[in-house]
Parts: sequence; structure tokens; C-alpha cells
Amino acid sequence: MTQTIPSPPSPPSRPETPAAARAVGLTKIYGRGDVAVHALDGVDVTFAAGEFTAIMGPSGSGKSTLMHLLAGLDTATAGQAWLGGTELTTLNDDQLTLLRRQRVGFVFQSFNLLPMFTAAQNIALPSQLAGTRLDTEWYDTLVGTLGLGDRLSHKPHELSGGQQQRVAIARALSTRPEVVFADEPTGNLDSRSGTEVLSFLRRSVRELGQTIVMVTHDPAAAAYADRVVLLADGRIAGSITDPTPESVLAGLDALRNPAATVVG
Amino acid sequence: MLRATLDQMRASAGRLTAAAIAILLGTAFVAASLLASATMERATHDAFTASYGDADLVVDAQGVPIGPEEVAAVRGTDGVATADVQSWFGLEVTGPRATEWVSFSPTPSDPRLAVGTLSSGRDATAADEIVLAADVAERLGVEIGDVVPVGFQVYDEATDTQEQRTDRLEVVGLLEASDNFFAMGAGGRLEPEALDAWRTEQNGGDPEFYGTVLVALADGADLESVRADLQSAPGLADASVWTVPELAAERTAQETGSNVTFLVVMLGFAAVALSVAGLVISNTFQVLVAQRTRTLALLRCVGASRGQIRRSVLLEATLVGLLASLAGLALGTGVVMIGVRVLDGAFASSTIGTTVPFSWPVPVVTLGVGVLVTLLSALVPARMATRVAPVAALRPVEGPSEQGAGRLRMTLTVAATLVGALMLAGGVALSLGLSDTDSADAAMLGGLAIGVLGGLISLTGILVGSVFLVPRLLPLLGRLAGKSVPARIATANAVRNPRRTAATTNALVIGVALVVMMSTGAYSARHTLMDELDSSFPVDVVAQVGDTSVGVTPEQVEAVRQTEGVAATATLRTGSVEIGTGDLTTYVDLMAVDSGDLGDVMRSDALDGLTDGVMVIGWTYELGDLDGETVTVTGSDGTTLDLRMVPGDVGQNTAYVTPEAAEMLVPDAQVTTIYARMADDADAVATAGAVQNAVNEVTEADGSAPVLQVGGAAVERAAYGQVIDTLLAVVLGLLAVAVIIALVGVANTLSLSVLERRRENATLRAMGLTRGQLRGMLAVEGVLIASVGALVGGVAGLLYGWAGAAVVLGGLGSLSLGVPWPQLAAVAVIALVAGLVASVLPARSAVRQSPVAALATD
Repeated sequence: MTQTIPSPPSPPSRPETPAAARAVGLTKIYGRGDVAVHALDGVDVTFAAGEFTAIMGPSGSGKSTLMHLLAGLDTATAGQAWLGGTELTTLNDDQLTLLRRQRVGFVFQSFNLLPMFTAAQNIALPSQLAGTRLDTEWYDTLVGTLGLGDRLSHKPHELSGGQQQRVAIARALSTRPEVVFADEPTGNLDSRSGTEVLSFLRRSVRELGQTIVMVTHDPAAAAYADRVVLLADGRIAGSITDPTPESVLAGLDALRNPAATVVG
Repeated sequence: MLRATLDQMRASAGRLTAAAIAILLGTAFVAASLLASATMERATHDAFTASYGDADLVVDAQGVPIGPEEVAAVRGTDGVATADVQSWFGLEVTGPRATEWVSFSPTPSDPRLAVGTLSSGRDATAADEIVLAADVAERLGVEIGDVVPVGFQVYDEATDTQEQRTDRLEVVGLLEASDNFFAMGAGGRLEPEALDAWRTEQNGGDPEFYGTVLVALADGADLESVRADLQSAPGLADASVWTVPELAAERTAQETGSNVTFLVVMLGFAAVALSVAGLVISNTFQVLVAQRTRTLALLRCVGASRGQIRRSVLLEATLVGLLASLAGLALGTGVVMIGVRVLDGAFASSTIGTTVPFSWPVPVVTLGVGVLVTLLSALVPARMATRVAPVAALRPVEGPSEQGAGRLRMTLTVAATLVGALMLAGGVALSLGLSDTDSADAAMLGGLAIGVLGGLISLTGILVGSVFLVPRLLPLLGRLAGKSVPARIATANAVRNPRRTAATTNALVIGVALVVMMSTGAYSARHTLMDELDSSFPVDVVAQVGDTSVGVTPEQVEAVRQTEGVAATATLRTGSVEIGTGDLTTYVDLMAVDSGDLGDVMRSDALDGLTDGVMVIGWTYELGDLDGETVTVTGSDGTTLDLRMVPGDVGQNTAYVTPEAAEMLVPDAQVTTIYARMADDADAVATAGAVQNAVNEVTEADGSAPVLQVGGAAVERAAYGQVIDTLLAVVLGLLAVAVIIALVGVANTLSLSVLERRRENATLRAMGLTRGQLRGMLAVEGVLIASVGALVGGVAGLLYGWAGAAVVLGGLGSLSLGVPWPQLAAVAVIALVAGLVASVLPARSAVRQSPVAALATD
């Protein structure tokens, strides 16, 4: 376990792997003049392919904004956001929509399944939107891995929170996106279901080769990641490789209290 | 609590505006109906008032005519300065430009008794003087100083002939152009004694009697005592003595029966518009309450009672209803004011005036009805609001409850629909069953009453039951929208809240059902009437010679055949034959085809049975109907033939035989008649005129060709059709308001969907749904909801229309029920387009929503 605090801009931690997503001087300002808020202030960060990265930071640190910009959900004020070889800040709304449809998957805090469709229909939705056929082998793998076999014909309100989030993960992975962005995926779950979901996310990286970027404020959740990127006041405040709950907690403490020494 | 209510209203201003538009349109209808009716009544009243000049008193004969003695008695009464009888006399006046029949009144003996004003010259004071209305003089081409020939006809009883009397009169003055339809004698004035003399002459010497005497009082005379004196004058005991305002009010009241009918019909349409508005408002408030669940619960948490919550919702409804009704009042008044101006400008003789009589009942009724409907519609939502539990504030916001409808509702639906349908069928059976009996009219009215009631009950059943029906129909229609993800989601969304969707479609069902019912009824009426006309007047155009000793020329036949709009022609020989059974004989007009085929030109099948040895014969005055018996027919030269009589609707004392039979019976018969059938798309009036012109041209070019009279049923048929079409257009225009209100409701429901599904739509956008697809999704949802409404309303309207036509037209004989496809297609297209249009604004706000912002709502 290595730690570099504070080290903006953070160099790619694993230069040998290609970048799945990358921010270069990424800046997002809400409002103008006196009331302008710098949600992101020149962020440079790279997320390697095949890696499970957690973005952490206190409330208002800009972690959600960073994720939204990298996922093509929002437009930057300045700087560049790259998804693989595509520069997102040059794309218009329709191009971004198609990019999200084909190359990005989402997992939300409140699951966001469509209530009138069954689990199976929800999982199939992204491929239907893209007009492609769902790879049945991949579908079976996902359903099997996530343990959804006997829940496929249920509607969301007939499923527990953990089951709903597993369906949401299956939905996010169904089109084999380049990157899955997860926004507080365990925020609405009890700890047992949360653990389950995090294990699935980690397995999908280890066993299925998926790239996942997860925003969380829970150190225990962050510890499932391969690497933790720390954000504070819209800037990269450090990163922790192979984190543990303790090291993440220590990193967060250091953010709140820069004078304190960090346990290494 | 008032502050909280007002703040909430401000926050949901947009949604309330939609509800307000619904009530605005409904109340505008009410205000416009009341004002239009009052304007018509005022116009009638003004017209009557004007027709008595400035008379102080009017002696009204009340059916006991006033003769010269009574007039003298009036004139002799103390306090009466002068009295004029109201009488008028028609003269044919000839000027350089035209000859016109003009109605004259006597020159008034006092300016106060003058009806109409002299614009130039002076009044007629001698027997050889005449005053004309300026517009009449203009049309005739005469001026003051001209001497004009006049004439009238006198009937001579002894010789049973009309005799023409003529005279020459000098124009000495002009009256202001008449702007008052009811003002009598407005065409001109004659010296009173001359007028009386002519009238008496025309009457064959009998003395003249009058209906009305206008009285002017002497200076200082007391009105009431003169009135009493007049009343007790000899011969006037049965007459009434009125002041002009009293008489005008009395006459207006008599005339107002038709105005009341107009008002009732208009208010009937207003009631339809308002009930649709009520549905939309109820829906809107339910939506508002659902949206505010959290706020309401919070209010309950901090101590608001159920009563306060209920009052808050009802207060909101009252305020919205009041504001919208005020706007509706303004709109309705504006429409009537503009309408009055337009009418006044369009017709010089308009009696409407340019102002609108605005009296207190108009605003009171309009505002009252508007607020009441809004309040009633808000009762259910208010109850919903009181049911919000305080703990709801502490729970995350759930989607609206999707509870199904109860068993009671199902029972009510089935019962109402069945009972209504049975009553409807009963009404039809009653009317049709007794249509050939003496009590047909009573049966028709009874059937109509039962049928209308049954229709209302079954419509209630359909509306109550739409919560079952609509969610089942939507997926079927949704399949037509395709299998794309947006279409599938739209279909699924549309059925998510069955009650709301059902309430939305109900508003549309009412409007569409009424529109389709009217169209179907009018269509059936048109066809039934046309069939009726076809058999009574089977030939479109008939060109006949006046003098049957001369035949039409081939050029004339050719001219008719070549006329644009004429599809087929046939020529006929005509003669007269005597037919008899036993001692009874009669003459009938005999017709036989000369060239062409009668089957091509006649619209009835009356002549289908015409073969050798047969005479197709209409009803004869002397012999009645002849059916099947063989009768001896005697021709012009005494030839006899025994022919079998086949009754047919070919006209009274008219008979058709084959050309061979005609050749034997009337060998010298001329070709006197041309029958022509018009093309189905031909303009009847224009074509009939063209035929007349064509034969006239031939006659003018060839002096030996006979003059032809052109007639036929086509023009009449077209006129009937036009009356029905015009009535239908007016009715549909009025019902369109209800449909428009219902479409406001569709837009309302959709924008609610957008609000409720912000997060879902954001999720879809994140997953790759484009803005266009999101718009399309809402458009499909709007079109689906509108189509279901149109479908249910269309089917119901068709059945109601048929039932209504069967009840009302069943007595007319051959009932012809049809499907008005063009109107149905129009309704379908309007529903599709309206669904699309209704989705535009909600879709705009939906695509503006950034997915990030929507995902962050929690």
C-alpha cells in the first residue's frame, strides 16, 4: 500500500495500462461573478482500464461533478474529459447521448429501475435503446453471477433494495460498456446488501474485466476498490492504491486536517 | 394558512393556469349565451318601440278590430291632441331602373306619431303625392319632383277577375333608409285619405278596420286619466291602452319564446363544456394534491388540522374559479361585442345595434357557475388531501398509489351501461314500433325522452367504467405505435395511473361522443331525407315545353345533354289518356320515353316494373291507388288498351307506359319533356341555371323552338342538404369548445407525467435516450391517451347517433343509417394531432431538464 498526499496532479498510477477515462485540467464553474462556485478546479486524473477506482471526498468536493463530466452527462466549463480516445467536450448533446448509450454504464444510488418493467426487461433496456441484440451468453453470465435467475420476471417493487441494485448492475453491464460509473451504489442499502453489491462490482472487474469508477463517501465501500482518488474543494487531493478502510479513513482525516501526519 | 395556500398557488401557477383555461372557456360560453340572448331580446324590444314612434299611448285592438267610429271616439276623447291609425297599403311603383312593390303608411298627423324620419323634401299632403324611403327611391332611380306610375290590383267578385288600377304620383319627400325590420310602412308614405280610399276600394267597398291607433296627448293632459277615458270610450272596452314601453315589453315577451329556446340550447352546450371543464379541473387538483403530498404532510406535522387542509384546497379552487370566471366573463362579453359589431357592419338593416345590454344576472350567473363548478370538481381532491398522513413527510416520496378500482365501481358500470342501453333500445323500439299508427308523434317524443335518459345513463356507465376499459385498450393501441423502446415505455406509462388516464380520456369521450353523435345523426337525417326526396322527386332537372302542341327541338336536347354537370338525359313524349274502372274514369298525363333510358335519369325505382302491358301510375284523385287490377285505357283517338296497373310514386294523375303502348294510345304525342340527371359532384343550383341558359340560347337563336321551363328536385335537394350541413357545422363548432377543453386536460396529464417521472426520464437520458426519443415518447403517450378517448367516444357517439336517428326519423319511412366516415376520419386525425400538440409543451420542459439535475433530486 502506497500513498501520496498531497500530490496534484496525480501521475497515472499504472502507466502500462491504457486509460479508460481521463480528465485534463477539467474545470466546472456553476454560476457567475460573485456567486460563481468552482465545483471542479483544473482536475487532472486518469482512470485505467480494467481497474476499480473509487472517488472520495467530503460533501461539495466535486466528486459527483467529476463523474458526471467523465460520463458525458454534463458539459465542462474548461479542460478536457476523455472517454478512451474520445474527447467529450467537443461533442453535442446527441453525440454524448449515443456515446453514453454505447460506451458507458450507470449504477445509481436509488437504483432507478423503470417501475413498470420486469427485472429482465430493465436489464435488456440499454441494448434495446441501442438497437442491438443482447448477447445471450453474456446475459446468462450476468444473471448467474448476480444471482438474479429466480427474480427476472419480478417488477422492481417486488424486489429488495439489494436485488434491485443487482438488477441495476446487470443493466449497467449488459452492453459491455467501456466504463461503468457508479454513484453511491450502496447509499440506500443495508450493510449486508451493500457488501454483496460491492463484492459483485469487484468481481465484475476481476473476473469480467470491467472498468468501474465509483463515487462514495463510505471508506468501507472505497476499500473494495483498487485505488481511491481523493478530492477536496474541486481539486485532486491525493490517491491511495490498494486501500483498506483504515488507510482511506486516515486519508480523509488528512484532508480535513492537513497538518496531521498520515499513518503510512 | 391563507399565506400557505397563496404560496402554494404561486408555486403551481402553471398547472393552475391549465385548469383555469378549462373553466375560462366554459364560463365564456355561459356569458356569451346570456349576452347574445339579451342582445336579441333588446333588439326585438327596440324594434317594437321604434314601430310606435313617440306616441304617448297606443290603443291595441286585441283582436276586436277598431273601425272608423272607434277611431273618431279616440280622437274625441279629452286630452287627446291627435290620433293616427296604423295601416299600410301596398303599391307597385315603377321607376326608370326598376319596378318594386312598396308598403306605404299614412302621413302622420303629428310629428310625435311619425315612424321614420324625413330626410329631405316634405310629407305627402295631397292625394297625388308620395314619399319614398331613400333606399327604395335609389333602387327605383327616382328623385324628388319625379312623377312615378303606381298600380295595384282589385279583385272583382262579379267577374272573378283581377283588375289593374293605376295612377301617377309626384315624389315630394324621402324617408331615411329603413334600419328597422319591424317598423311598419317604412317603404314610404301616402296622404292618409288617399290611402284609406284605395284600401277601401281594394276591400270591395267595405269600411276599413285597424289593429292599432297611436295617440298623442294635448299639452298638460294627464296620461292616466286619458288612458282611463280611452278605455271607457265606446267600442274600446275590449281594447288595451298601453304606453309604448308597456306594449313593447308585452310584444317582446310574446316574441321571446324563440329567444328562450335559443338560450336553452346555448346553455345546454355551455353545460357540456363546463362538465368537461369540471373533469379537467378535478384531474388538475388531484395532481396538485399528489404533488404536494410532502408539503401537506409537513403542514399536518406542524399542526394543521384536516379541516384547515380541506379549506386550503377549497379556497384555492375558489380563487382559481373566480379568476378564471372573470376572464371567461371578459372573453364571452368580448366575443358577443365583436359579433354584434360584425353583424351590424354586415347587414345595413341589422336591428341589433352596436352595444351589448350588460345586466347584473350575466356576471352573477357566470361567476357563480364558474366558481361552483370549480369547487365541486375540487371536492374529491380536497378529500384526498385530508387523507395525507403526517408521517408521509418523513418517508421518501412514493409514486402515486396505483390502487385498482373497487367492485362497487364495476357493479355501477355494468348496471348503468346495461340499463342505459336497454332504455335506449326501448326508446328506439317504441318510436319505430308505433311509427305507422296515429300516436306516432307521441311515441316519437316518448321514445326520445326514454332514449335521451338511457343515453345519459349509459354514458355515465361508460365514464365511470373507463377506469377498467381504458387500461385494457391502451396496450392494444400501443402495439400500433411500434416496438421501439420509447413507444413501449410510453404505452407502459400511459396505463400506470389508470384513474388519472381514465379521467383524462373521459373529458375527451364526452366531447367526441357528442360530436360523432351529431355527425351520425345529421348524416342519417341527410340520407333518409335524400331517399325520401329521391322517391318523391326522382328527376333532378326537368325541362318542359309550356304549350304541349309543340315539341322540343333536337338542338335543345343536345344543349341540355352538353351542359356541364349533366350526367344523363332522356326525352319523353307526353299526352293525355282516360282510364276507368266501371263508371269511374279520370284523365291522366301519360308519359313514355322517347330517347335515352329512364333508369339512368330517375333516382327512384318506381319505374322498375314498367314492361309491356303495364301502366305505372301514381295516386289519382278520382280513383285513389290502383294496384294490380287491369284497367281499360282510352287514347286520344279512341284506341283502347287493357293495361295492368302498377302503383308507383310518379306524381299525382301521372302514368308511364312503354313507347309502344304510347304509340298506340297517343300517336300524335310530341316530345315535350327532357329529363336530366346531374353528376353526383355537380353544383345543383349552378347546373340548373346552366341548363336554363342553354335551352334559352337555343330558343333565341331559333325562333321556331319552343320556350322551355326548367325545374326539378335537384335545387330543392341541395337546399335541404345545405340546411342540415349548416346546422351541423354550427353544432360542431359549439361542441368543439368541449373538445378543446378536453385537450387542455391531456396536456395537463402529460405535464404531470413529466414532473412525476423526472428521475425516470433522467435515467433513460443517462442510459442513452436522445432528446428526440424523449419527445417522441411523450408524443406517443399523448396520442395514445387522445386516441383511446376518441375511440371510446367515437363508438359511443356512433351508437347514440344511430339510436337518435332511429327514434326521430323512424316515422319518415325508409330509415337510412350510415357511418359518417369523413367526420370519423376527421375526429381520428384531430385526436392524433391534438395528442401530438398536447405533448409539445410538456416535452419541451422534459428535454430541458438536464439529466444530472434530475438525478440529483432526492
